[in-house]
Amino acid sequence: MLVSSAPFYVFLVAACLLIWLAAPSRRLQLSLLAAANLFFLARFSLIYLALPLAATADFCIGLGLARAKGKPARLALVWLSVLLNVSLMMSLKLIPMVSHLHLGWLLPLSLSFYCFQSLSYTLDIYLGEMQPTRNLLDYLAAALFFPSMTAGPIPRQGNLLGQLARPFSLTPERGSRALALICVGLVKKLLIADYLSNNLVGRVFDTPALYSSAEILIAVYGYALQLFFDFSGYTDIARGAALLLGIELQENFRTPYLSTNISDFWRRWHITFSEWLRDYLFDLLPKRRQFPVLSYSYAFFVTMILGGLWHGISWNFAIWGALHGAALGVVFAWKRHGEKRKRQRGAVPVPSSAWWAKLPAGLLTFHFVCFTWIFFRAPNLETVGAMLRGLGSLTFSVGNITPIVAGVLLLASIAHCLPSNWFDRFALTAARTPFWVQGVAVAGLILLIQTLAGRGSAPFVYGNF
Amino acid sequence: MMESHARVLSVLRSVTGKAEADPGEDESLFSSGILDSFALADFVSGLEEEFGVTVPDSDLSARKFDTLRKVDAYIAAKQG
Repeated sequence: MLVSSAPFYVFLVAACLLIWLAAPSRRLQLSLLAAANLFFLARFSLIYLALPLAATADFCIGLGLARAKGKPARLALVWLSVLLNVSLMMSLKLIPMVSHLHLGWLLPLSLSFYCFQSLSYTLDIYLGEMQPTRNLLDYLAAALFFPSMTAGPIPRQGNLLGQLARPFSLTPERGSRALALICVGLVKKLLIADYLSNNLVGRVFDTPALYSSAEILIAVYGYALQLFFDFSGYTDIARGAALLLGIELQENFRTPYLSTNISDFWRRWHITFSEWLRDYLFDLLPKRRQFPVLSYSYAFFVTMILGGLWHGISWNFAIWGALHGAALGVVFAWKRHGEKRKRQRGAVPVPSSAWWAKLPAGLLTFHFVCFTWIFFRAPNLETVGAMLRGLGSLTFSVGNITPIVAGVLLLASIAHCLPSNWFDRFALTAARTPFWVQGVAVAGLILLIQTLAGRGSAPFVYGNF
Repeated sequence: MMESHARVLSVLRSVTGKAEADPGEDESLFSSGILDSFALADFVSGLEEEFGVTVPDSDLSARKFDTLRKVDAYIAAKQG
């Protein structure tokens, strides 16, 4: 059940209505939410109905961690949770690879995002950041929370449990904001990401030899935009659906292609994932301040290679992660060197905020990220080689780029750069318009999407990870 | 406490070069872009120098120093 498909919205409306109607009883609301979570999972495959067993195991480990006195017992418990979740994540990635079977119909959900969320729960209890919940129903409602199950944003279990402890409430402002998020998400996914995928990116990456250097470069830019609109579109829909249930999920993107270095990029791209990697992997790796460049570079490298391999067990993703890890190390060394020199000269390091000072760094960062996207998108290293050879052939014909594709690329580039407060203003304006106007606008948008993207939605890119 | 808070803020501004940075007590220094993993080691070294405390390398984690309130509490605990 894709969150961009009609059945999801029938399910969402039914689930929200039932949960709102049960308002006097929070326990009943939580039970209905837990039931909705299970229904959502079962629509993918009945096999996922076993997931509450894994969730219950983490719930029990959480309780055990709170009771265990000695460090060895606590360590054993937290490792048990790590083993449980990593094996679940890896088995769903490795079984189809090793067995050479197409198990997409049986295991369509990767469950990675569930595992990250569950691990945040047991690791936070182990690290003393939170106390476990003693109520299994609360835990299941949060751990299997359906809006973020397919592809995040990765909520911290403690945060979600805290929000679920409050009564569910839907104000007109919140409802309008949720509706606006869902509409914006659908436009991003169905009108921009899918269009670019079908009419530019997919074609060029399938047969790069047929295209000129300029067309390949445009397709790489196109993929950068496709991936952003696909994933941020999903995130908007997930945040909107969660908001209808009174839950605020964290934003996942902040104009990532305007970053001025690779560290900045990871503060703006897939924010919940990079914060997860930072808190539960990078920060836990041993580092020495006596050898900062060496120890930090190694920690960045290990973190990003593992982050890359999470997307899929392949050389492409390993190289993608290694490139980002190496770039983070280089930026770290560069910054330290620059600051050291400035301090030696007695100047306080002040980063320049002028746009012209940031432009070269921004362009370099964007092109580095686009270069790494080639590894990320290409199905294998042969395709990467073909794309790079095509780029190097220095041919400049753009006959295969239609005016509509060029127009969508331009609009997408502008839309990406819009500051987030524009959306807030849009949502506020929507909230102030009469309810029937909002209804007509949504119906019109659905008709527009149906007309322009009648072939239906492609799966979300991050739904595969 | 107020004096300690001002000293933490002064170290933060000096290390990051962001003289205008004025985060709220509970505002995330990392999410707001004031601090990052790159600058954390320098920030912690600055705190050690300013407050005369020793921070072990194993404590170099974003979450321990994510907000001014957490930093204040950490230093207070270290000073005993």
